[in-house]
This record gives sequence, C-alpha cells and structure tokens, in this order.
Amino acid sequence: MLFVWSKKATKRWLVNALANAGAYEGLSAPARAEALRAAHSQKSDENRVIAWFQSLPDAPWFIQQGIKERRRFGWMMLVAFILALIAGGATGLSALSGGRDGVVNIIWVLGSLLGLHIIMLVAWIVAITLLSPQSSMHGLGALIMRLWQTIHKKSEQSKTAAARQAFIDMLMAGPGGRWMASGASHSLWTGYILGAFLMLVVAFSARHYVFVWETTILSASDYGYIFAWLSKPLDLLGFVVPSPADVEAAGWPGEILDQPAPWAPFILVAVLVYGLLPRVILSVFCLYRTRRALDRTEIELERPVFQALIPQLAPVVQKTRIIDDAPADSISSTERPQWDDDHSLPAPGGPVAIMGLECAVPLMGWPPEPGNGMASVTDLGIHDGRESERAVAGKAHRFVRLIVVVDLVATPDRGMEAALKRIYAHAGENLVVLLSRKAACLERLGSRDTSTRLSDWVMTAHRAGCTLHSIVALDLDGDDADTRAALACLYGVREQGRP
Amino acid sequence: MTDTPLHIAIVGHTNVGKTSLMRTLTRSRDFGEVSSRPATTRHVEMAELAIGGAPVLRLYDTPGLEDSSGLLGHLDHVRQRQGNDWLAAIDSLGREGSEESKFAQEAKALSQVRQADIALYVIDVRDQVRARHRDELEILGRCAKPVLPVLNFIKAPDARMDDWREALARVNMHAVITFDTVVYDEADELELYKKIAILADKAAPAIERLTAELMSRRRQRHLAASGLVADLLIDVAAAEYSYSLDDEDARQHVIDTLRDKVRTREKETVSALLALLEFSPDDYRLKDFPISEGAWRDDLFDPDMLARMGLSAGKAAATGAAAGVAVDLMVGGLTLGAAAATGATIGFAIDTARKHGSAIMNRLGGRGRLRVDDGTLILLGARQVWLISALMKRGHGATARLEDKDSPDKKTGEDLLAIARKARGEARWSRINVGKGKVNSGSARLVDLRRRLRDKISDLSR
Repeated sequence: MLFVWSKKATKRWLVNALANAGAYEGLSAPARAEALRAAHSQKSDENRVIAWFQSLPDAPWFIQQGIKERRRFGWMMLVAFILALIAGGATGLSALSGGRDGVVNIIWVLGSLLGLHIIMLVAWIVAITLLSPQSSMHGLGALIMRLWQTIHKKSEQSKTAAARQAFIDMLMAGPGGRWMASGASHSLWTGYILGAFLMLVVAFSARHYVFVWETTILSASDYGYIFAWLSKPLDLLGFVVPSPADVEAAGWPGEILDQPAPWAPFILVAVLVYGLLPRVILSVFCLYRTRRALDRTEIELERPVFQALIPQLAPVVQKTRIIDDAPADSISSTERPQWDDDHSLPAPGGPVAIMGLECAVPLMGWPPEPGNGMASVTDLGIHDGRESERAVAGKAHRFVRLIVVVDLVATPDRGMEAALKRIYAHAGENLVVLLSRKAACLERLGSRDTSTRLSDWVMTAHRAGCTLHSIVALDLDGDDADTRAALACLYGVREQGRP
Repeated sequence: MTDTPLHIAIVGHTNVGKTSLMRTLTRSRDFGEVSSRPATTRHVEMAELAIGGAPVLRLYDTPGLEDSSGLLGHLDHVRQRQGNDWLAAIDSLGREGSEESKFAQEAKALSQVRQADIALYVIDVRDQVRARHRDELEILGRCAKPVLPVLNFIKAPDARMDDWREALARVNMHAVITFDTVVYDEADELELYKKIAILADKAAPAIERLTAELMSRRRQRHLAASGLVADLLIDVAAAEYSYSLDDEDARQHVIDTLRDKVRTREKETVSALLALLEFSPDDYRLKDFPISEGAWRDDLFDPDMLARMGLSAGKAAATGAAAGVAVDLMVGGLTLGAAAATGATIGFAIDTARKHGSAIMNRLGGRGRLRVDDGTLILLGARQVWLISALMKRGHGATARLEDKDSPDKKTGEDLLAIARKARGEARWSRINVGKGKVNSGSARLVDLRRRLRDKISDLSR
C-alpha cells in the first residue's frame, strides 16, 4: 500500500473525500477567506482546488482518517497474503501426498502447483491486453477489494463513508483500478506459490521421495519431449536439469528404486521459474503501474462541485465597480402621466399635414391613406431628427393639424425628445404625435415591455410640449377598416355615404 | 504579457445592448441593469477580466449616446467658438459648466472613449441606419481612438446586416464584429477578441491566453452540466420501489412516490444547471413533466431484465466452473469434473442471489417492484439535453425567459436511454433509492457508465 500511494495521491484523495462529504458547505466567513487565500496563491486550477480543500477546517480529520483507511487496507492485504501462503503450503503438501506413499508423480505435482496458475496468468494477460479497463476488473484482486468494500459497507458516519468512497473510487474506479486489482491478484498468487514452494523445500529436506511419471497410453518418448521442453529454459538459466536418460529411468517401474537424478531440485526450480518469478515480477510491475496511474490521475475538474468552485478561486471577471456615477438630474423620473390610448381627437377644421419621424414606411404605405378617395393631407415625408425641423420650418402655420408619426419600436430617447421639441416650437398646439407599429413592438419586446415603451413615448412627447390629448396610438402597419376609420378621423375626412 | 490591462470602452446609442454585451462577455447575469427603456445605464461601470489574478482587459460600460445630433451640433459650435480642434472640444465637454449638463451622459461616455485604448461601438442591427447613428460615428471618429463596430442582435429575423455594413463602410469601418448578446456563439466571441488583439498588438498574447482560458472553462462547464444530467438519468433509470402485489393502493402509492421523487430530482438538476452556468432561477421555469402512469410496470420479467439475468448468471457459472477446476487441480485431479460442476452451480446460485435475490424473494413473498418506464426516461433525457444546449447558447445579456421546446427530440432521448439502461436493476446506484447524502458505491462500471452518458449528453447538446 505504501508503495502505490504517493503524496500526490493523498492530496487528490483528500479533495475527493472532502467534496463527497460536502465539507465545503456552510463554511464560516474566516474559514472561507482562509481557503480562498490559500487557493489564490496557486498557479493551476487543480492546485487551486487542492489548496482550497486542504485548508478547510475538516481537512486534518480526513487526513487522519485516510491514514487509518490505508492501514486497514494494508492489514487486510497482509492477512490475505498469509492465508494465500497457508493455502499454497497445503496445496504443496497435498500434491506430494496424493499418490503412493513416498512416490511422487512429477507431472501431477507440477500440474497441481502450476496448472491453474498458468491458466489464470494467460487469462490475466488476455484480459489486460484485450479487454476494456472496466471488464478487466475481475479476478482475485478485484474480489479482495470488493470484499474489503463489503466489510466496511455499513459505515458508521457519513464522513467516514465519504473518505472511504474517495479511496475506493481512486483505487478501483479510476484508471489505476485494473492495475491495483492485478497487483493485488499477483501478490496473492505470489503468496500462494511461495507457500507451496516453501512446503516443497521442507518436505524434500525432511523426507525421501521417489519421482516418477506414469502412463497408460503415451510412450516414453512423449514424456521425453515434455521434459525436454520444460527443461530447456531452466537449462539456459544454468540450472541442473534431468537428462533424457534420467527421464527414461523415471518411468514408473512398479517398485521404488533409488534415483540419483536431480528431480527434487528440478521441481523446485520449475516452481520458482515458472511460478514464483513471473508473479513477483508482475506484482512489482502492476504496483508500479498503479502508482503511476494514481499519480497521473488528475482531479476531475469537470465535476459540478469543482466547476462551481473554480470561478471563485480564479475568477476571470476579477471585479466590477462603478467608476463614474450617474449625472444628478431627473430625466429618469418615474412619474407617469395618466394617458388613455383609446381616445379620439375631434375632426380638424382645416388642412392637415403628416410627417414621419425616424419611422419605417408603414405596411399601408406612405402617406397612409384612409382609402376612401377623399383624403386631402399634405405629405411632409419621413425624416430623421435634424432634418425633421427643416421639413416643418416655415410650413407648420399652414396646417391646423401636424401629425408626426413615431415608431414604437424605436427608443424614445433625449434625441427624439429634442426633435419633437423643435417641431413643437413650429407647430405648437397643432402637433399630434401618432404612436405607430405597436404590433412590431410587441413582437420584439413582448407585452410587458411594450406597455412600458408606450408610456415612455407618451412621457417623451408630453415633455416635448404635446398635450396628452394630442398623443394617439394607431398602428399604421395594421391595414384594416378600423385603422383606416381612425386615420380618416384624424385627417378630418368623412367616409363616402356617411353624414 | 503586458502588466497594464487593455482598456476598452463600450459605447453606442441608448438601448442597443451595451450592458447586455458586458453581461455576456463577463458571463454575469447580475452586471448592471438591462431593460428596454432608454438611459437604463447612466453611470460608467468597469469589469476587469483576468487570468490567474493578472488583469488582461478592463471593459467600461458607458451611458448611451442619446442626443448625438444635438451633441454634434454643440461640439461643432464649441470648436468654432473657441477656435479649438475637435479633440479639444470633446475633451472640454466634461469640464463645461452646468448649462451643458444636458449632455452629461454623453460626456461620460466620450470621456471613457478618450481614456480607453479601443472603443467598441455597439449597434442594434434591427434598427434602420439613421442620421443619429451617422452623427455618433462622426463624433467617435473624432475621438482619435480605434473604434470597432459590434453588430448586436444579428440572429434576429429582422436584422439589417447589409444596410449596416454599407453604412459603416461609408465611414471607413470595414472591420466589424458580429456578436449577438442574446444568442451566444463561441466563434463570434473568439472573433471579437481576435479583432481587439489586432488593434492592440502588445496585449495580443495576453488576450490569446484569456480566450483560451474562457473557452476551456466553457468546455469544462459544458461537461459538468452534462455530468449533472448523467447523474439524473442514472438515478432515475436505476430507481426502483417494491410494493405488495395484493394491495392495489400500495402500488398506486409507490407510483406516486416514485413520480414525485423523479420530479424533485429533475427540479434539483435544473436548479444546479442554472447555477452552474451562472443563470438565475428566473431564466427557466420547469413545467410539470408528463410522467406516464400506464407504462410503469413491474418489470422483473421484462425481456431486458431476463436477458441481463441470464447473461450475468452465465458469467457467474463460468467463474464458478473455473474455481472448481482450480479445486480439481489443487487436489491432484482426484475429483476432476465433480468440483467444476459444483463450482458452476454454486457460482450461478451466488450471483443470481446477489443480483436478483431481492427480486426473486420479493416475488415469492408476494411483492412487486416498480421502475420508471422507458418513455419517461426518453422524455427526461431529451428535455435536459435541450436545456443544456439552450443554456449554452444563451447570452448572459438575454432577459426573456427561456421557453420549453414544444416536443423534445425523441431520437436524442432514445440514444441516451440506450446507455442509461445499463443502470436498470442497480438500485444502489440511485440517489432516489439510497438517499441524497449517501454516496454511490465505487464501481468501475458506474464510473464508466456515468462518463459515457456524460460524454454522449455533451455531444448531443453541442
């Protein structure tokens, strides 16, 4: 455990444990300030998150808990290793005492000591190379780790559970999981084969055995091949191996004979080279890979809990502040004049002119016509702010009514107010402000903002000098009978056939 | 990197979305005040954008230029009267006495432009090009600062892009930025910073790092949001409750409980999503979800479940057989075959009991189990994916509430169901079952499922 668990892993474990436990909730202001201060001194988001969690008041308790957890896990692995050692010893003993007393069948001994081990080793190699990390989380190691998880399942308190959860997540669910399970598995196999090996050493030291092979249907040459094949690597490694003559001599003759051939060392060396050695190497390799994976596993910053935190720890928007106050005047007065949009004006007793102030050409065309052929209205055109004054200057006195069409979609700002004021200076009480395009405004702003916009326009026109009675709302985009009738009224034309 | 931040003044006519632009660029729903009324912002407010504590940009939100025609006339008059040049006239604006206070708002904006390195001139492209806009451009053109026009509301159906491009070209503004403060577009934001960097080449490396940081945070937040929905779907797919088969009321009670819990869980997810993406609860209101009643079933014997059961028990049998073989080998093959067969049987029995024991015991004890049906999961998944997608494309300057899409995309929901289904039968994975404070068991399968679901949601909500 100590081998795979580095300081880096502890840091990351601590963050996850504290996050699982919700230890960041309900922090006191000084604790929060302290944590923020610690985080701000770091360069990367991950380090900021680590620093923040490390300085939480709960962190020391969790660090102690982590040591306890790891110690428990270490003890459990040790107990499992000892059990494997004993099981190995028992297997070794039973393999030697399986047949006739004092006679050992070489093939049976090697088969029972190495057979399953080799099958499982091949299975492990297949799993680790071909299967996905999740499906390779089976086998002895995974079983041991699940066992440990199950033993502690009935957790006493949520903080302990959170600490253990983070531990399990890192060891089992993370990228190091498969290597951890593999490492645990190989370690147990190491214990098992070591137990068997020691038992063989003890047995061979204390008793005399005769080593044979037996067959019913195979020939002696088949056994010759098998032993030659098994011996070759051992021979290359410099061990003494039985010669073909020794193999032939070991064929079961039906009685116990004296054997000078090195069968006992051969069996020990075979268990060592084919059993113990690969498992020891793989244990070390897998534990190394676990450590590397644990070291490389970064905190999952995409977890919502960290994402909620990061903007506070390293804000991109550092600060906002007002650097120049609003001017002290009463432009944005909230007093709203009482205006009724459903009123009509009396018919004008003389010529009427119409002008658009920064408005779009209405859907009913320009100038808007009531459509009964009797309209007589002077078109002054559609103009922008400054030009509008020029358009009415010197002409306004000719009309008893000057209708200025404005667009509700446009914002009634001070520029508009100034323009209306200039027109009012020429037209005076004859000025009528027509608020058009309510439908377009509704579409853009929605109903609530449209009614605000309407009253803003009324206020603007009123401030420009217009009486409330001279402000009318009529959507010139609505090319229907009602609109035309209202327009006819404004123009002072009677519809044909009516009195 | 430069030590001093780049100062950028955001100017424009009143009510064109200057504060909305600030909100969207700072991802801050609370910056300033946004309304459809004129002169909503009458002060100058600064926001500083930094990486790792080092300021890169300072953005200044300024009051709108309301009476540019009047102002232009006034500046011209001052210029002629005092024999000053335009710059002197503009600079004298803030210093003038109370009689000019009618341009106090404009004075504040122009003063910021004069102090800034760059001015962003925000335009509502739904508006027609007017004389006042031309006047504003003329005044800004005389401020001796680089001005970048920002075309706002470009995604609106009534946008007049061509008119505006032409009007800007007439005053030699050929480089424009398109940026909709309501409908967020990552590419537009990148382009905005790129063009700023061209105008301020000293700050370019810092700006590049700032945009990289902004984009990486955006991606992380998107994944985090997808993770929230993945958790929701796993919780709902894995949830199950048992009830007495003889008691019809109990069944109804369980249906009601489960439905309430699913609703509560979805509400929690929506709140968490809005908070994570820095929107307020007002930005979206969850409508009640049409959780179907009829399709809720006792699905111990549904084909999916049976297939899984057969599969997992089969795997256990194989493991058991392997264990048996081990026993055989260890005892020297004396029991060859028998142990393997026993092992297989025991393996099957243990695994079946572990995984489905409670289901079978429930059934034998006259109890049934209920889960959330596929249809509900499909709708739930589709709606959440739509919500993430809508929020990721929502500018923080948007004020209109997000409206539910009429019919969530069924295909999306089905794609998610195909993955989420793996959580069926794993009640210990569901916070609906095990309770909120209790964490799920650390299993590589759960972690893998969650990640796959999260990545799929992230893909679908792009």
